[in-house]
Amino acid sequence: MMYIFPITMILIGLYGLMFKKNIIKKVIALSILANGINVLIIIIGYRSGGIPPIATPTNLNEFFTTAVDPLPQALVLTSIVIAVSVTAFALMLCYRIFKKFKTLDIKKLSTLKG
Amino acid sequence: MLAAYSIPILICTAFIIPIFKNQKIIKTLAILSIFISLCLVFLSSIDVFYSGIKTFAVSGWKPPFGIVLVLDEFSSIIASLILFLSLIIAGFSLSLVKERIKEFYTLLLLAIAGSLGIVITGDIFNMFVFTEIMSIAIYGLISFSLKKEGLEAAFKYLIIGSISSYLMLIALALLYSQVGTLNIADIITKINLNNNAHKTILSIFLLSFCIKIGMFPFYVWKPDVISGSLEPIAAFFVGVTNATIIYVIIRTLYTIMGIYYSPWLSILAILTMIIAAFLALLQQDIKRILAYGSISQLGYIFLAFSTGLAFQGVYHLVNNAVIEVLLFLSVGTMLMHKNKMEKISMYAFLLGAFSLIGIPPLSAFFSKFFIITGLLEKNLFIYAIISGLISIVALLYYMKIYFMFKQDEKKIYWPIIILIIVVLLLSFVPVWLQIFKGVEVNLLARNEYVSEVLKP
Repeated sequence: MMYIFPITMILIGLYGLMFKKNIIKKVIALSILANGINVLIIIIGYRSGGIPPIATPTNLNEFFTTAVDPLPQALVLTSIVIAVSVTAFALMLCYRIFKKFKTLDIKKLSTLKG
Repeated sequence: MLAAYSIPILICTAFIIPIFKNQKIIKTLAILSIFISLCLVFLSSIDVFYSGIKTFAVSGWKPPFGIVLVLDEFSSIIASLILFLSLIIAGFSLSLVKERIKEFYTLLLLAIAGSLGIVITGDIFNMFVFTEIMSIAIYGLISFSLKKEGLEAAFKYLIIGSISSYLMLIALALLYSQVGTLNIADIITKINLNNNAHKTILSIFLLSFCIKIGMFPFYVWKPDVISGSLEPIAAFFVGVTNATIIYVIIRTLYTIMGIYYSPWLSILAILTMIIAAFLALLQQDIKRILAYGSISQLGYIFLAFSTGLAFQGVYHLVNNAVIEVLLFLSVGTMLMHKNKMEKISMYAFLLGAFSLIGIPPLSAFFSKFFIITGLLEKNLFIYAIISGLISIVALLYYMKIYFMFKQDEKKIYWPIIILIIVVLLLSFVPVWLQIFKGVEVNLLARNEYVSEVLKP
């Protein structure tokens, strides 16, 4: 059931990427898509009633039986950083596009045709 | 494994370059770092060809727990190829890129490091990270000119490339939830293709790379991106990035899934080949014709691999990468000669075009010939006939480009001379046949890959 939440986010992101005409809105949709995937990864590593994955010499037994999977959390950290850098680059590109084309409408960016 | 050190060398140089102000130092550092990594990769490749697969556990964590770098015969061929082509492209850019060279070389080195990382990594999440490094650097390179075309092309590729990267990430996450590991060798032991979930996930993974490379239903953005960027960058995009992504697709198909004949991929390949070739005929702009031509050539490579013709595919992949770079760089000399073509580049262009069309003593004739005879042996007559006929269409559109050129005086560019020599060297079939047949044996040996990587 928990999977509904990230899947909705991913679908909203894809909808925005396909149908929004404003390029800033496209970038926002891109980051919603990325965050949806991050939530999906976190849910994959989740186990109900799990404890934080911190192992100390005293709680090793409990760690192995009830801790949530730490690897997806490590993956999500990397993936968040990547998503942030893509978003930053995309916004910079939007700024440059606005300076050159004087518009943010994707339909009017049509110098390349053939 | 020496090749493992080439990635840190490239990335460190990329971030040291912005400190310097002197143009000569920047150029020397960039070329030198690519050359050193090429030497390192070449040395380890020789080692791999003599004594089998080499692995390198990053910071001492043994596979399947840590990140492992793997160099086998296929990846060493592709790694040497991409570094060689990058060296040529960086050398060519020396005389072309006059301003903002710090940014240019930083981005170029990052893109090279990313594609090298994709090829030599043995961990599927690490592959995602390197894919993103490569992609972001390439978005930057495409928009480098800061002209309208470049910005528009970069934005298009940013959207498409991000969708494909995030599809890959979804596939990774689902794969991890199914098999509980990210190491490629470990995935091979745990994957079960009779399980529909595993099959679907790996198909999403393949789909993401098919989007990124511009296979048949997803090719529309690619000519825009290529015609919007500078010629050396277009050459990088078509030569190096394509070779890298083809490598990932083949690695997934052959090594992870163990599928040697995939009907749907071969149909996509043949459609890519036909449609791109006919669209190339309709174009008026030189770079767009070349772009559609390169998509059409992708069709040949995927046709070979998806019908199980591995060594023919590797041979055509190497030929195609070298020749596409030669074509784009020789067209790139027009930028420095006020839209005229200088003589040697014109001959270089003709050599490359004749080779791709398949004129007998040249290299790509042999690879196409092997592909077609291989298809005939497998009783796929329709595919063989179509791939023969598309070569004739290729003749038409490359000759169309040739008649668009205006001649200029003679001036020699060393990267183009080197590429001409390499294209001629690639025509010595017996030597290459021996090497690529070895690669094929190596590529088909999945169990050996697993046992070498997971060796305690």
